[in-house]
This record gives sequence, C-alpha cells and structure tokens, in this order.
Amino acid sequence: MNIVGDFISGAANGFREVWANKLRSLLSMSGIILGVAALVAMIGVVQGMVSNLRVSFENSGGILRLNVETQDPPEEQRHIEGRSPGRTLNDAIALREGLTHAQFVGAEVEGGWSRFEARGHRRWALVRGVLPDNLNFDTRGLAEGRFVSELDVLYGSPVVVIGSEVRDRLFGDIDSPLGEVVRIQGGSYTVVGVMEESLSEAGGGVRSRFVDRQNFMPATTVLRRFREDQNIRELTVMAKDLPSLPDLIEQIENILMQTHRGIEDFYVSTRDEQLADLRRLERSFMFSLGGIAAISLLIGGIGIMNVMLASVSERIREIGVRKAIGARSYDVFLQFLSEAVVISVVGGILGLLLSVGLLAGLREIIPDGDRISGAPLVAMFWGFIFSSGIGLLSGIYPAIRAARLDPIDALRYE
Amino acid sequence: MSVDQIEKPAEDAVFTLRNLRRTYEMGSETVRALDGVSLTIPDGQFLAIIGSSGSGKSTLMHILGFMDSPTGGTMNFEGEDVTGISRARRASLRANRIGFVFQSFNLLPRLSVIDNVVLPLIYGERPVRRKDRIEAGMQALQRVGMDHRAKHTPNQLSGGERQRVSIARALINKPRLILADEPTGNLDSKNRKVVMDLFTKLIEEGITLALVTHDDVVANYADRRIRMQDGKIIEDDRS
Ligand SMILES: Nc1ncnc2c1ncn2[C@@H]1O[C@H](COP(=O)(O)OP(=O)(O)OP(=O)(O)O)[C@@H](O)[C@H]1O
Ligand SMILES: [Mg+2]
Repeated sequence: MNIVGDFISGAANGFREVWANKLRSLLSMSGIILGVAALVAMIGVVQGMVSNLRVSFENSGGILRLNVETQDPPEEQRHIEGRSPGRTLNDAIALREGLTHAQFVGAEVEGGWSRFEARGHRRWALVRGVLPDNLNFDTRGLAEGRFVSELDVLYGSPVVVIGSEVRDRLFGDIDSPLGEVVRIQGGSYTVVGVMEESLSEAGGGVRSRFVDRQNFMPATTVLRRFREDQNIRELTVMAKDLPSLPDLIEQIENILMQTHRGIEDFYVSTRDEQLADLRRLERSFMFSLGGIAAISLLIGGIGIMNVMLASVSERIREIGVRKAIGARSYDVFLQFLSEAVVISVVGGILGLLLSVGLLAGLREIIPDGDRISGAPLVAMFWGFIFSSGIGLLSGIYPAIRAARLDPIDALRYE
Repeated sequence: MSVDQIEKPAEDAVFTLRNLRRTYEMGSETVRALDGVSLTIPDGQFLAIIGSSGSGKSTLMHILGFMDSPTGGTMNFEGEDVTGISRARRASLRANRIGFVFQSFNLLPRLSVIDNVVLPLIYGERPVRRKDRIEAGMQALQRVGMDHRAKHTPNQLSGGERQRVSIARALINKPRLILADEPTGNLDSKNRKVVMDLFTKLIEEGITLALVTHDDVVANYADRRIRMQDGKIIEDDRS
C-alpha cells in the first residue's frame, strides 16, 4: 500500500476542498496563521535582543573582564573609613604597574552630557574620560585617527575621540574631522579620532544612537576640566586567560589594599553572575515563548478540529456515497486527514509570511528596532513543522469520525 | 417451488443465499429484518423484489451490496463464500464487482458528471491514470446516453438524467451485478420508461440486475419477481 502516494493525491483533493470553501478555510486557519506569525515574530525579537546582549557581553571583555566595585567597609573599619581615598585614577595606575596576569587595565571618569560646538553646529553629547586600554572594552573600534594615548593621559591633553553620530552632526560637511577643533563646555579640544558606528560587525549589528553620541577624552583631562572630585566611575581589568583569573583577583586585592590604606571599601566582581543572568534570561524567554507557542498552536488546532468536525457532519451523505461505491475507511480517513493538513500547512505558510511582515514592521516602529533580527530560519522551520503537526493531530479525530461512519446510516442521513 | 427448499450453490449463480438472517437488537426487542432468506440469483437474470414497506427489501439489497453483513446464514458470491468477510474485503467488492443505483441518485453535488462517474475507479483495485479514467467514464456515459453532459454538475440535470448518470457510475467498473433500490421511485412515468429501457438494454448486454420496486409497471419488466413480507420471501414468480 502506497501511503505516501495516497497522501499526495489526498492533499491535491484537500487543496480543491480548501479552495472550494475559501472563507471557511481561511477562518479555520486564522488560529494557526496568528499562532505561527506571533511565534516566529517573537522568536525573532527575542533572539535579536539576546544575541545582541551576548555579542556586547563578549565584545566588552566577556568572562575575562573584572570590575572593581565600591562597597561600604566592614563594621570594624567604619570609624577609619576616611583614611581611604576611595576609587581613584591612582588605583588604575597602580594596577597597571603591579599586575602580572592582566591583559588590560581600564578606568573611566564621567564627564557628563556637554554641549559640543564646531563649524557652526551644536550637539549635546556624552564625555567619557578613559585610559588607552579602554578601547579594548568597547564594542566599537576606530573608524579613523587614533584613540586616547598614554601621552594624552600623562599630560592631560585637550584631545577628543568623537562618536560617529557627533561626527555626522558637526562635521557632516567635510571629509575628515581629524585635526578640527571642538568647543566643549568653554574649552577647545582637537579631534584625534572617530569611533566606528555601533551598527558595525563588531557591535553585533546593534545600532544605538545613544552609543554613537559618546566621546572619549583622556581620564586626566576629564578629571581636571569636568569634575571637582577625583572619583572614577569604573575600574576594569581584563585577564590574560581563564586559569589566571583567581591569581589575578588576589593580586588586585593586594594592590588596592595598599592604595586604599587597608580599608575594604572595594571588591572585585567577576562576570560569572552576568553570564548566568544572560543564560537565565535566554532560558526564561525560550520557556515563555514555548508556552505562548503551545497555547496559540493549541488554539489553532482546536479551530481546525472544530471546522473539520463541522465539515464531517456537513458531508455525512458524501461519505456514505463514497463508502457505498467502494471507499475503504482508510480512504475516507486519509481524505479528511489530508484536508486538515492542507489547511494547517497553508495556514502555517501564511503565518510565516505574516511574521516576516510583522518583524519588518516592528523594526520600523520600535525605538532601537534595529535590534530585532529578521525572521530566523530555525524558527520558521519549527513554526512550519509545528503547524503541520498540529494539523495532523487535530485532523485525526474528525478523520476517525468520518472513517467510522456506516455507509447505510450515512446514506439515510438527511 | 417452495421458498424453504434449500438451493445448491449453482456454478453460474451470481449470488446464492441460504437461510440469511439480519436482526437488530432494539433494547429488549429484536427486529427480524431478514428472517431466513434463501435465494439464488442466476447469471443474467433480471430480478424484481417487491413487498410492503418494512418487509426487508432494502436490508437484503444492502447485504447483497456488501454494505451490511448478515447476522446468520451463509452467502456465496460468484463461487466464493463471502459470509464473514472483513470490512476491507467488502469495500473492495463494492468498488470492483458491484454497481449500486439509489432511489435518490446520490451524486456528489460538487463534482462534475464525469468526475462522479469515475469516482469508483479511485477506490478500485489498481490505480487508473486520470486520462484512462476519463476515457472509461465517457464510454460509460455513452452507454446511458449522457456523454454530452459530462462537464455539467448534477444539479443542472433532471431527475431522469441524474439517474442515468448514476447508472453510468454503477457501470464504470464493469460489474456483472447491478443492484438498484427503487431506482424509479423519484421519477415520473416518462423518465421511468427511459431508465427501464436502459436497464433492459443492459440485461441484453449480459448484466445481472436485482431491483427493488413498489411499482407493478417496473416489476413487469423483470424475468422474475419475489415478494417479501416480514423478512421472508413469500412468493417467487418466474414468468
Ligand atoms: N438500523 C436499523 N435498526 C433497527 N431496525 C431497522 C434498521 N434498519 C431497518 N430496520 C428495520 O428492518 C425492517 C426492514 O427494513 P427495510 O428498510 O429493509 O424495509 P424495506 O422493505 O426496504 O421498506 P421500504 O419499502 O419502506 O423501503 C423494518 O422493520 C425496519 O424498521
Ligand atoms: Mg427500502
């Protein structure tokens, strides 16, 4: 017995039946269409978000990155808390000199949002004071020129590395802004470099206007010109490799104990937690998506089953006739099953098309919509498999009902 | 000839029934739709089955047409004992060896005339290509004089025309036996004559026909008339 052949000719008849009842078929498909569309579109959104989080996690140092955070010192040190200078640029300098297992040491001083002016244009943009190694902690590279150098830091030079969005706003009318002067908060700074757009490959396809409005200056320059205190916002160390991580942490703690004069107002945080968070996030997204998918496809399946049951009772006489002239129960079973599968497969395909449109639409509407990826092929594949599977499952019961009908009873039915 | 006399399965008989019973259990009550029917239908015979309403005529036709099974007795079809055969085997016999004509035509309204006629071929023993199906269908339609309406749908036809199409459908698998349950019941006298002349022509071509009717005019076309009452054959008239 050639089941596949029977099924293919059944599917052809199924198509004819579906086409003959266009409106009814469309209504019965609607659950599957919406279910598949929502599923694929949501997977697209979530996958885009999560993979971008992952890429920026990796590009900003991954698991090898350590941060020195501040904390309240323990109870017994509270009364001498004032002896510690807190987290300062000196910490970074001491770490750079003392660490043997570190790849990079970065520090950041916040300069705040400031007004940038050049060539008659103005733009509010963020000033970040950094060390040369900070380039390695950024998801972006340099588009042109150079980054903040050791000498810049040493002398507190009035130089700036601007973000791509700032370049477009202030220097959109010239070829290269290198060597041009920008007025920021009353001071003059020479542009020595331009950062890449965050949309670039290294940024994981994430374009963020916020990121592209960030500009770098030497940490010393920012401390001198933009701040009253000596506090730094971030102190970052990147390990050479994973095995050296514990030793490195110990070294950091030893060195900082000296610069903080024995006060434990800091701790070294690893990114284990962040990685675990990321994984938890991914998992919970996938679980909730799985739940939504299951529910929507269940509803789709119930819709199809409902329509198929109605179709069976509408066609009892037809079933009787077919059986009377020789159709086996198997033939009738296959006829109705293939109709259900055709409905759900067509519904699944329409749902996939809708999801592509939905994602394209979302990318336009949502702020930061560029984070949304295109309809992912894997999701489309599974959406398709699930919808046909649902058709198969929801078609089985009505098909059995049809196949079980007794020809005499069916023919007597009015 | 006595109706209770047991007939031997004849070599050239299409059907031989012995003491056939069909009962329905309705709660505590037992309905004997067929109550010991013995009957031989020889090859080429035109048999009319008559009798009052509820006497078991349709029940007998359904069993002869392999749509129903007897609850007692034996039946032999074309030399083969078919008493307790499986559902699948019965379906196969329906598709390949018997043509059935109904009172209410039972054509599928959504299919064209030609597609209705070739429908049994889809369920036949061997697959038939569409081109060959159409050819066979057109031949069957020619035999009933309906080939010019092949592309129409059943509801574009008169009752008599529909019945001729359904006879073409019964002929498509070239069966020896055609069963007809009140085939003229829904027709006026003019169309009744057309259909009965068609049946007469088919008998001359060698078909065996068993037909249920309430109509004496129709019964008089037959070679033999059996009368049923309370699930039994009470009269067997060969003239
Ligand atoms: N499915 C069934 N369940 C119970 N009783 C049935 C069933 N089918 C038929 N019967 C009974 O069997 C008997 C014979 O019915 P059958 O249909 O064979 O009569 P008939 O001779 O064809 O009558 P008519 O001339 O009205 O068509 C009737 O008493 C009928 O009520
Ligand atoms: Mg009857």
